[in-house]
Amino acid sequence: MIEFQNISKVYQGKNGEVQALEHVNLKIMDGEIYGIIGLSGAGKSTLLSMINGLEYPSEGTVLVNGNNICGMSFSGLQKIRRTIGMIFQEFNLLNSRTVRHNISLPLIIAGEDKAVIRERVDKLLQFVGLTDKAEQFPDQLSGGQKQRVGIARALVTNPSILLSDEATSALDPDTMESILDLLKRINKEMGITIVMVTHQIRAVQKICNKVAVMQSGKVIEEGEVFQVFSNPQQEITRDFVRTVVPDVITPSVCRQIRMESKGNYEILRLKFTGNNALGDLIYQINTKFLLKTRILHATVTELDEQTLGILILQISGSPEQIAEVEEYVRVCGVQCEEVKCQYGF
Amino acid sequence: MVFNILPWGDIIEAMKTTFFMVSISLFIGTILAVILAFALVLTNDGGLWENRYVFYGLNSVISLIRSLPFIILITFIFPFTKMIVGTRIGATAALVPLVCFIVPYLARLFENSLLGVDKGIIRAAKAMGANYFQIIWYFILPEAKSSMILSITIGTISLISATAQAGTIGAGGIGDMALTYGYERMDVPVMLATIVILVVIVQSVQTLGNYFAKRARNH
Ligand SMILES: Nc1ncnc2c1ncn2[C@@H]1O[C@H](COP(=O)(O)OP(=O)(O)O)[C@@H](O)[C@H]1O
Ligand SMILES: [Mg+2]
Repeated sequence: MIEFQNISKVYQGKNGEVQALEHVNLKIMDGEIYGIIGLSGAGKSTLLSMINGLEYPSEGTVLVNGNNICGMSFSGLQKIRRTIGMIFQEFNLLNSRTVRHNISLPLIIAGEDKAVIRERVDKLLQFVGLTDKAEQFPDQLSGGQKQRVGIARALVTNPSILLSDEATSALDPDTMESILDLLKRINKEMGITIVMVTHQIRAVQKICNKVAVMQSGKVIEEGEVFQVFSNPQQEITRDFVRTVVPDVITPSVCRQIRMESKGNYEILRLKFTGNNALGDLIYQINTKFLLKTRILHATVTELDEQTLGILILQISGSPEQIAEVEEYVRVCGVQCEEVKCQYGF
Repeated sequence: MVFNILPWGDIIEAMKTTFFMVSISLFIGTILAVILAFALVLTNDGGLWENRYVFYGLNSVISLIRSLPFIILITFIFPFTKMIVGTRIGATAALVPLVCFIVPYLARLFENSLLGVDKGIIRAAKAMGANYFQIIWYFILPEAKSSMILSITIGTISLISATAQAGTIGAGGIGDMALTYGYERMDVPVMLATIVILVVIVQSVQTLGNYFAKRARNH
């Protein structure tokens, strides 16, 4: 378990002090893939680097499996660091060394046997699918392959935690997906806890169980990915989530509704989660209340192995009838809120 | 014909002297410069052993010596030379000013090579649990090696040209020979021969340096 207790960090910058972190409290459990998302400068990397002691808090405590990282001797820290792998956006590989040598480095500096190193590296080369590239140099590899080397290097000491600082941010979309798949596999097959810092909501959506949203050095929202994505509380979270799980009607649909619709109507956004995602709600509304409904927008997304469906419906009828529908929808356990046409003239 | 009018014995002797001065001062100079360059980079802002006083101290001394022309440096450190090698003239005596000249020069070049190593690599090294020595040995040196070899190449060529000025304290060598035969005795064939030899030596050093630098980068 990784615990941040009331962490603050002040940097002495060139133009005075920079408050990089402010009273951050987080708990990351074993076996989780924990996403930390936020815009550039939010303090994500600073927070992540405190887990392996690359940065120290100005205030507060960091506990990794019960060990206080800040009060540790260098040799103690060294031992802990060998149980924590780290990967980076810029890969940080030695260009003057082969892929094999790069992956071997953590074991070489730990004073491991040559034969043991060879065996371990071969295993990891196979795991990341780079067996045929062992004797090549990093600048002969693509970005995705370089990150695979970085991942193999991070895993070679058999760590229990993997820290990822924007590991997919420098990659094209397809490569990013395959690296995310690989991270998921690492978590599932090796049981390694992953802490993933990113500004890409797609990365969080695809593999994380938990997420913390950061803004200006503070954690402003935190929880299960499914919870946060299906019901984001903060504006910035909503903006992030909207880019992968759209929940608004498009401008052209909006315009059309304004032009066409006569009489009273209301637009409702319904969020189906978990088991009721595949219900027969629309059929019920149509047959029970005999009201005309029109689907303006629909998405179904899988998050952390649960389904989130978003449906935007236009319901025509008297205000009383519509209120009854809303009541019925809520009783069925479906989140429901009114949406206004925000676009058009 | 031309071949016979040249004093081959003297030329070979001069080449040996140049080789002696350059190789010894380069060897000692490189070791000292590597140490100095690491001291500069490690004590600089953001270095592993950040220390303002040490950094500014070293930095000023290096800048001071670097700003003296070699011929003045030779004279300036006469007493020091005498103290170390017991004499102020000859090839051995020339080693002292040559080393004093090349150390700050190479230190500056090495400093640049070391600063060229990506900070991210040092971060990765720390994250793996590397100690300071391991960071230098397994991460910084391999990455800086190629650029340091080029620095040594430049340093060697500067040393060859500096040995010509060491002739003023009777050090001898091929550059000195060009000066005495060409300037004092107006012996054009010998002067031309020494120039050709110098050009060939410098070009070979450069070619070799480039080759080894490329090999160090990878492949
Ligand atoms: N070594 C440093 N010195 C001064 N300021 C820093 C340093 N590292 C980070 N900062 C500042 O701290 C803030 C958070 O940085 P960082 O953790 O890198 O953010 P993120 O990873 O979310 O982009 C930024 O404003 C950044 O400029
Ligand atoms: Mg960052």
